[in-house]
Amino acid sequence: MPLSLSTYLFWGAGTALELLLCALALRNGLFRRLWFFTLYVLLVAIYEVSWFGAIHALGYKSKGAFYFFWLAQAILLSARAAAIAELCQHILRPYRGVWALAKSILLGIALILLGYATIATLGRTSWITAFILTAGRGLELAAAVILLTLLFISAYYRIRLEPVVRLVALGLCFFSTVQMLNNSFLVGWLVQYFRLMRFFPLWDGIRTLSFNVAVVIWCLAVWRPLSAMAPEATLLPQQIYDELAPQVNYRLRMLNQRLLEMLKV
Amino acid sequence: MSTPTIYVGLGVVLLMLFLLVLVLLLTRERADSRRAPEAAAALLSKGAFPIHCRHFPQVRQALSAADQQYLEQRASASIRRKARRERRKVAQQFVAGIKEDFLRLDRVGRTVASLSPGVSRKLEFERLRLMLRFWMLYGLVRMQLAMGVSVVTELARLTELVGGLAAQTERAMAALEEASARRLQSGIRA
Repeated sequence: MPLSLSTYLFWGAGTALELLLCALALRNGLFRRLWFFTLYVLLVAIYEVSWFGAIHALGYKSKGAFYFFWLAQAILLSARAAAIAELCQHILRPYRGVWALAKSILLGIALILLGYATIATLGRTSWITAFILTAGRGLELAAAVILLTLLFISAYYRIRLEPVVRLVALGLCFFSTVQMLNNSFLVGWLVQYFRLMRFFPLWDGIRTLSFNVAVVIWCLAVWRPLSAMAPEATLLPQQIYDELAPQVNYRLRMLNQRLLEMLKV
Repeated sequence: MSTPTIYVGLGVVLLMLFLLVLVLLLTRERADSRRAPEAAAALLSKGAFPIHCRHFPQVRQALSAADQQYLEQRASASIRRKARRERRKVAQQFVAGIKEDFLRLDRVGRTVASLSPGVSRKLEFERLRLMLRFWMLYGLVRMQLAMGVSVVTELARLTELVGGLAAQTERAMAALEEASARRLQSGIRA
């Protein structure tokens, strides 16, 4: 099936953006800071070019193109998961206490959401596309929640985010959130009432558009040469926290108690 | 409600949270370029807190019952009304100041936690819960003040609490500075 001019233009613009991102990431040394994320953007660019070759060689609606597409999605999703884990580590690891706490929270969230995604996916074994979309929905939900939690923790503890790291996190979070909505809408509503393949271009269009928005955000992140790495935070002796934290909490508790009493007056 | 509807709802909530985080990150970065814990530690060493609690004696005088009585006996109705408005304004501003002190002290707690090699999960979750509770109660107290309820005695207790915590924190930071200086000296000797 020949593709329309608009599809070519859409694909061309997206691929050009991804290649630009790869070039900027390599030129400005993003791989020294975020290795897995750089690998992910490289894989995306390779996929875009090879996907175009695959649909021309195998045909847009062929089984070969279908398997190529979903296999590539699985690889890209895994690479993105690795990039997210790397991002969490990069942001929080210098703060040992917070990292130990956040690690257990983030792992807990990931286990719960991935477990739920597995259960939801296993219940949809009847139709392979619905199966994949359900899995994708669960994984995107997990990614979005983990990234938002990470951003919340860093904001709460006033951990300074380098502009490049902040924009990478925001881009990933944006894409995961839109994808989760996209998958939910398709899996939940359109699949139930219509033939799915009829809406596949719509799903793919939203996915590509949101991804291009994320790529623009990432291009902005690596547009300029990266600044030198900030020196690692000097940690305080453990004794300070052990002495101060219970006192702070005690005072806050009492303060709330007083406020409550004021309300009762 | 069907599962897909829940998912779409969740997605919308996540999208809104994302936008909120985006706004927070962008505005806070501009408003306070010194977000690093190191910068907050510098704030501690300056002893820049609490500011508002220190003015409590003057505020108490302005809001005292004796003053109120004096006005009731001597002043005209219009002056009494004006005085009531002014007193309420003073109380509201003072409570807002207490909030600032509270936030500054809470930031100290978070900064110390972020710079510690180990933190207690229990204490950290408790502080987060207390902070959320404080915001809720603070909103209600503000509402009560807006309705004209006198809260002078309670303000005194509130001030003692925040002021006491600040004094303890300052002591801890002084000990910390001393320890750092000792480490530095021994490092130079080594």
